[in-house]
Amino acid sequence: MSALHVDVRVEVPGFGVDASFSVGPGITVLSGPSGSGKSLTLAAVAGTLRPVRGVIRVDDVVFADVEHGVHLRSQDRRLGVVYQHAALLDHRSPRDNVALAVRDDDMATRRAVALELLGRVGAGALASAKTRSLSGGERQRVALARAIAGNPRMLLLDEPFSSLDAPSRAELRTLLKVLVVEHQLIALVVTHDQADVDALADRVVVYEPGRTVSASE
Amino acid sequence: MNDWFPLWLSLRVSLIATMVAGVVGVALAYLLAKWRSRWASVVEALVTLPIVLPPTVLGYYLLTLLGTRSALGGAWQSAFGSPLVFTESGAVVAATVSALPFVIRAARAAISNVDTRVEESARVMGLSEWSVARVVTLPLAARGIGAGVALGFARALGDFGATVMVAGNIPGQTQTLPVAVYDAVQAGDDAAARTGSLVLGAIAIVVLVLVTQVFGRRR
Repeated sequence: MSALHVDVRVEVPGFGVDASFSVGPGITVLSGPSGSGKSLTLAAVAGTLRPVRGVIRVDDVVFADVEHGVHLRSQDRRLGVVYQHAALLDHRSPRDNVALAVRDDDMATRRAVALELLGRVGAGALASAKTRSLSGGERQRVALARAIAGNPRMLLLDEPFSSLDAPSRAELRTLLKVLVVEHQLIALVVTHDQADVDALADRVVVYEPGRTVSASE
Repeated sequence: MNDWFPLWLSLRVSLIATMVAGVVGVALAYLLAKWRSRWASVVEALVTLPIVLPPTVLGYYLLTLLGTRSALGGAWQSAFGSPLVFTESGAVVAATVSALPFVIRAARAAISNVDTRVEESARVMGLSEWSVARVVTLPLAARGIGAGVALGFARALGDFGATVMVAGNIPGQTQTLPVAVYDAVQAGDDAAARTGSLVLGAIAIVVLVLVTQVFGRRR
């Protein structure tokens, strides 16, 4: 069974966080006050920020090892991400947004996989819609389909549902849980919403400003 | 104005110059937007120089750099069998250099304004840097780039000082419309000067309306 091991220090000007935890498949919620370093940890796992100390690895695959000068490119980590504001490409259809993440050289295959995944997240009817005109909930469904399209090792979600209304949030929480179980994924979720924690968390990593303090099942 | 050669030459020169400045300018703008180094601002200042330099001074630099006695000018003559200066190609070079900073500044701003989270998402989902630029960054910056290219075209079309220094004022060969207007005024030919000025003014207005309406519209 896969496991993510994080033991790093990540810094941005004026702030740093020491994060240390090991988690397996299922949903791990990173919980704590604003500015405690949860999103920085996520950025370091995604590879968009280089840690200044320590190691991040999934099983034997080392994402980052500062002491040994290892920093695997984001492209090579096989991750799926969902941000609060979806970060979809508005100039591409939902189908193409998902197809771009499918790791296959043949565009026809990628589009076929994208259609299947959009159907899987309940957004099949939106495949050719104008991405710009999608509602918040629809955008996050497409973002979830895109996140799993690359057959990822891990999902990273940063406040994924916080801009949605309550019914959409509940639906998407259920969908996320089903996808994580189906694909046996490790999912890290940053959220401020206690309802997200209660509904989603298989385990919780608690942050204080600048460090992790505990991990609980 | 009976002789329309200057107008056609101006349009031809500025279209070619805009294409060259578009390709080179967008590539440079991308590098400048992504290059995190203090040298980036030095390079940006250098490529922006044509905006603030007097056009005749810019033309003088180009003439010195590209003249037949210079290394570049000599290499051009060896390769193509004719000099670069005082030819239509010289006018294209002058117009390109004049247009370039307009393209670079607009494109750089547009590229810098693209939400980095969208680019990061694309990288994380496996797209190469080239694909991120092609599929994400440049399409999202297209309006700003388009505005810069349109302004670059207008600048290339209206260039006088650099063009007259590098390409000269040879009627029927290198005399562009702005230079022809100057010539007409010097010769007391008010009708020709008026017609040329109206044509240039009309094109400038069309370009500005285009920039405002098409590229400036909010999505």
